[in-house]
Amino acid sequence: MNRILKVSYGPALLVFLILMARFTFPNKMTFIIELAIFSIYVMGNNILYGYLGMVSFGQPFYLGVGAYATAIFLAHVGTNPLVGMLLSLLMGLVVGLILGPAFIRLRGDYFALINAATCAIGMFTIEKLLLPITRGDDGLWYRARMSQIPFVDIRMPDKFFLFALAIFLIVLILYNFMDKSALGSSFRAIRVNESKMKFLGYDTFKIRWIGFTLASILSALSGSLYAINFGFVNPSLAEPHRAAEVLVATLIGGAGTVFGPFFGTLAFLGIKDLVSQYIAHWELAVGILTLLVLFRFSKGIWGNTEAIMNEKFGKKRNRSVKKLLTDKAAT
Amino acid sequence: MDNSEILMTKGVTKNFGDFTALNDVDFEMKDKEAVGIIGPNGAGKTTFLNIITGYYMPDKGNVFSEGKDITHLSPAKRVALKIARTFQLVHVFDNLSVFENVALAFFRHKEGKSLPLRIFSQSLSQPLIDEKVSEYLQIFELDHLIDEVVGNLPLGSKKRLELAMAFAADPKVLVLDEPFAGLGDQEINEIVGVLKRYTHNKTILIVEHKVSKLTEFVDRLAVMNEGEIIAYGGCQETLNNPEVRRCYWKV
Amino acid sequence: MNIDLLLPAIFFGLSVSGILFLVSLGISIGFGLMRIINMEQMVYYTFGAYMAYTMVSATGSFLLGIIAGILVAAFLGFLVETQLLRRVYGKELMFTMVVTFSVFLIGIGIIQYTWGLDPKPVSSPFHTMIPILGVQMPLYRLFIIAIAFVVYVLIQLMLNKTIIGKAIRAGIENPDQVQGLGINIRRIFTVTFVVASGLAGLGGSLNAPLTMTGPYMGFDMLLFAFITVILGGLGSIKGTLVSALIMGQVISVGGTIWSPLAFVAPFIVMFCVILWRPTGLFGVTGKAFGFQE
Ligand SMILES: Nc1ncnc2c1ncn2[C@@H]1O[C@H](COP(=O)(O)OP(=O)(O)O)[C@@H](O)[C@H]1O
Ligand SMILES: [Mg+2]
Repeated sequence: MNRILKVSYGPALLVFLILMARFTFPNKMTFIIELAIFSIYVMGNNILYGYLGMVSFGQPFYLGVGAYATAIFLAHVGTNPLVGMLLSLLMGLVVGLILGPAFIRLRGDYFALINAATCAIGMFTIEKLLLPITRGDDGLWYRARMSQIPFVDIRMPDKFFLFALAIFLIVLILYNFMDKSALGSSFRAIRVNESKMKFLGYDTFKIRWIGFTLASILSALSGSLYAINFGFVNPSLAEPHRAAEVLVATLIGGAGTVFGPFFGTLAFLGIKDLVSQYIAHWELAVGILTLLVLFRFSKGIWGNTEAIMNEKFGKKRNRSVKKLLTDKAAT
Repeated sequence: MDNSEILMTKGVTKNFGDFTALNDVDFEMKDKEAVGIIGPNGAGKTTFLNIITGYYMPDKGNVFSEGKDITHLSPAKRVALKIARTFQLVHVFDNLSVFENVALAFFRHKEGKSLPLRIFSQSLSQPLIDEKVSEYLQIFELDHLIDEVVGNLPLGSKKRLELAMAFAADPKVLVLDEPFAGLGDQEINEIVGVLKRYTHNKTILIVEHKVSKLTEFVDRLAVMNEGEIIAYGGCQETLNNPEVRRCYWKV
Repeated sequence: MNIDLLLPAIFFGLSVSGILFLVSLGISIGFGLMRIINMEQMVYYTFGAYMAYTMVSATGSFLLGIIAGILVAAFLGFLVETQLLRRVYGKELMFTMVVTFSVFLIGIGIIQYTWGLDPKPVSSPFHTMIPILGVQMPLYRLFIIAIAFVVYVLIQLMLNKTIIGKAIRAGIENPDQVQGLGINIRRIFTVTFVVASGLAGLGGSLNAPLTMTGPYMGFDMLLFAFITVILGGLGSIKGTLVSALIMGQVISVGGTIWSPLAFVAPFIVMFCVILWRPTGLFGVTGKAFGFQE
């Protein structure tokens, strides 16, 4: 319980700040909703890229799986968005478990590309082969079919905002918990020296499989939230071209950190929002920013902030062990 | 088969392309014994350790531990049988802290079969881990570096860290590949001191060039040359072996 | 499918192969020689296409368009290689991938800034149809096939007959050895890179009349080029040619059978190749580009 509390402070503070922002800039609510949803997607990719060092050029596929699972359910089967969401989580799990073993044994470059191929093939399947169910390019509309859920009527944008933020908070707490768990350390260790991990007795294949599946689940959850938010889904949400967005956001925010995905998303969506008000395209600004991060600030926004804070306030890690050591030295 | 052999190889052969790195190697060592392997560079010592610990599969022959054929076990499964190793070129996690490096090694040992579930739920900072890790850090005089990111440390500290990680796995068999290479005399003597303390407490198989340091604690010495063990026995006996004198000392 | 459609599809596919071959070479050699994954090759391709557009609308000469496409692309390649890529040689493969991808994004941004977002049509320089085996083929497509073939022959000559070509080959086969031989490896890299980007530019300008010239045209081509390169085995020029020939047919014949296949069939090929034969058809650099262990 104590540990749950410990990993909750940071996320709670962040969500509090987001709430403040929402009331300070009331006309930015749509932006903030997207910020929360996209952050979850980036958090998924961050497990792959940041923790495990695997680049995937096909993350939109996993987003699309989640979005379409919810959309198809709401358009053809049921009316409860929560059931749709559960379905998406399940699909994310299944897809991750099935594709994982085939993909993660590949070397980095192949892993990136097979995901791109999967995305192209998957979206083709959704768009063309499942045309009767997904209505292809026209997209699925189901806003009117969504029923009310207990407590919050998430069909209202300002209620959905609270709902999305609550999900974001839960996910972020779990994410922070994962980061501080043995699993988080194992991910980071595998990233730099997988072979050594094997010789410490860890089944690195399974650990990477877990990471891949978690990424898939988070992407699917994000997709599902998009689907509920829009009340409409079409293939453009998950085009293979959009694979760059999530990678770039991960990188800018600070790969391999807990809060990096949020700040990366903030920077990325912010730039997109700002730039497109003036010159209508974001690639130039984002490309330059990415190069800058790659060569100058390799830890990204949050990674560097964290480093500065550590410097200023001193590292507080392993206090218990240090106490143990000084106690021992005393006796 | 006599089960007391904690490690045994029978006819182990390993080729890299047309090059035979190991040729029909038979080897055994008893429980709690300390054995040193010496030999010129390229003799196949590292390759031999790699086969024992599962980095490579041999092309021919078998590896046994306590009578069990482990030839085809993965490295991780051999760790579960309590065989731990270090590498000639130091292998540590540069992006993690000293504490986390040792904690990962100990955590694997501590959780054993329950690892798959507990890896999600457990943190690396908990009383038992703290206790044990600080113990190993003290043994290898790394306690003042506990928070350092390993990537910034000098080679000597990294080598000691890797040893601490191997010990933290609480192995029955320790397989060490040139643990003294690149270290100063002072550091070497400290490590020899630690190894002496654990001799006859754990099984130790060590590859090293510094024969004089080895003879301080090993029970038997093996000499490898061109993929074969050309002599194996008590230290003095082996070093006086005429073939060894010819191949190794070029006398 | 009836045979009247098959023959044109095959010819059509050959011209697609020509373009694929030109734009894939840079990626293949970039991996084979420099051990980088250079996704920004498609910037040169896109610039080539836009130069064709600009020159044709300004002067009406397609030939000038091709020349400008090659020169501008080669110059951009020179800039990127000397200013940026030199800093990433020897780094992790994934790092080079992300760096060059950022350059690709910047390139797209510059193109949007210069030419806007709307696609630019470029009309074909000749509309003559030529009967071959009873099929009417556009002369322009035959022209592309011929150029790609000439390029292939020239590259083979360069690699086999010139000193720098031999150094490049040695470099692909064994990167450490070249440095041992004391050949200035930087110069080799730059020359190779400039040639490769010039060829990508040529591919772009040649393809301009066949597709819509737009800022994102490089994206589709990027993935197709990667499929070609993987199928051929990285670093192999002959492999790239053969796989370009195969991919051209997959796209063209596939598209004739059912038009959406033109887009997705290459990905199905890529998916299968990576999972079942990751060293490609020729597998020359299989040890460098394959499974993890
Ligand atoms: N993975 C490998 N591929 C090819 N040759 C290898 C490989 N590993 C070792 N060798 C060769 O095997 C021989 C023995 O190497 P090694 O076992 O490292 O020797 P030692 O540790 O005794 O110095 C050397 O000639 C080395 O070049
Ligand atoms: Mg060795």
